[in-house]
Amino acid sequence: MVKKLRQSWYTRSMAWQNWFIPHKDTHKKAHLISWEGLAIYILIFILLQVSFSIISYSKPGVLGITSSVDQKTLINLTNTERQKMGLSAVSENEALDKAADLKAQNMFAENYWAHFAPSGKTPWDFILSTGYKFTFAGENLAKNFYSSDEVVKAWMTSPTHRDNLLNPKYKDIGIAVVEGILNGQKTTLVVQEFGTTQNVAAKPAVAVQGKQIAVPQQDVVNPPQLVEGASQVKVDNKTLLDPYTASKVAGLSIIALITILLSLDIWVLRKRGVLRLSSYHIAHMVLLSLAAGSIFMLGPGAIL
Amino acid sequence: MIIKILIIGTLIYLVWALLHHKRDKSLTLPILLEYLLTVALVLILISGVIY
Repeated sequence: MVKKLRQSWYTRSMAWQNWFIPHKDTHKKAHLISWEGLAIYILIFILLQVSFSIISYSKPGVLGITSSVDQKTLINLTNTERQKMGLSAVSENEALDKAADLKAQNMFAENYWAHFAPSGKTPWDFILSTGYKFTFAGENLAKNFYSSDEVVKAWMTSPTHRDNLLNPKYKDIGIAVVEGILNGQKTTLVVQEFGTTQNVAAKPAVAVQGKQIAVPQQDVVNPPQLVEGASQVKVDNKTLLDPYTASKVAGLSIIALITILLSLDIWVLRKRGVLRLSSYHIAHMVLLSLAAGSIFMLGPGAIL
Repeated sequence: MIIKILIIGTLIYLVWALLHHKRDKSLTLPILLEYLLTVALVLILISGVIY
């Protein structure tokens, strides 16, 4: 009886070990690094992403990113970049600040992430509605950056946003940093509006994503009346979970676990003096390291 | 840029794996599945972090 119990315990403990190290008799790969194990990791990660989508849909605002982007710091950093290139600094303009705020509020109200609203509102509608009579204007957008530095760095890395930021025609700037709920998640939107009222163009135009769009004459003559704060939603300062950080931690943990188990597999087989026909662990480890580096370096911020 | 490097790395990994195991005459279904699922895992992890 004792012998049977001992044998059963030994079999169970060995079965448990087979998840982490090669089988002691067959030298078959540990379950957690077999193709079945890889399929389990994929399923777990997909389930995590699906649960984020369900939470975003059923409890808007529970998930999201808490950011410390500051409007004044963004203006200073923009001017620092302009001055580095020998350009004149742009001055903060109240009307452009209001236009940027209107644009951000509208993005939350209509739930979109674009320069043009689904309802047909254009970037110049927001600027013209504040009474700012521009001859040339431009718009840069950003969302979900943790700091002001990251926002300006991202704009400077993108050629079209950089061209907008360093355009010598601009004299005025307006920036809005607004928190709200976009696609069910707490989001910090940054809207940067540039403009000049000086006679630099024959017809008013707006620069958006590297394209210069001529403003239709009827929009200039009859600017739309947009009301500020009409659909403003109060957002809690603290969200319960940052889905970006959670995905990053989950991804890096899976990669770390697989890398440790692959190394353990190499070590155990060498110790046993066994040669097994299998896929190459070193190749897997190189690809996984590349993925870990990418996950580590990527951020949740996006620009448009 | 990071994504481009990762995609190129993934393609090199797959092509190398196929050529190596084909030459070695060791390309079996479980081995092929391991490479394909590793690629799938890497791409899913990255897309989960980006979006």
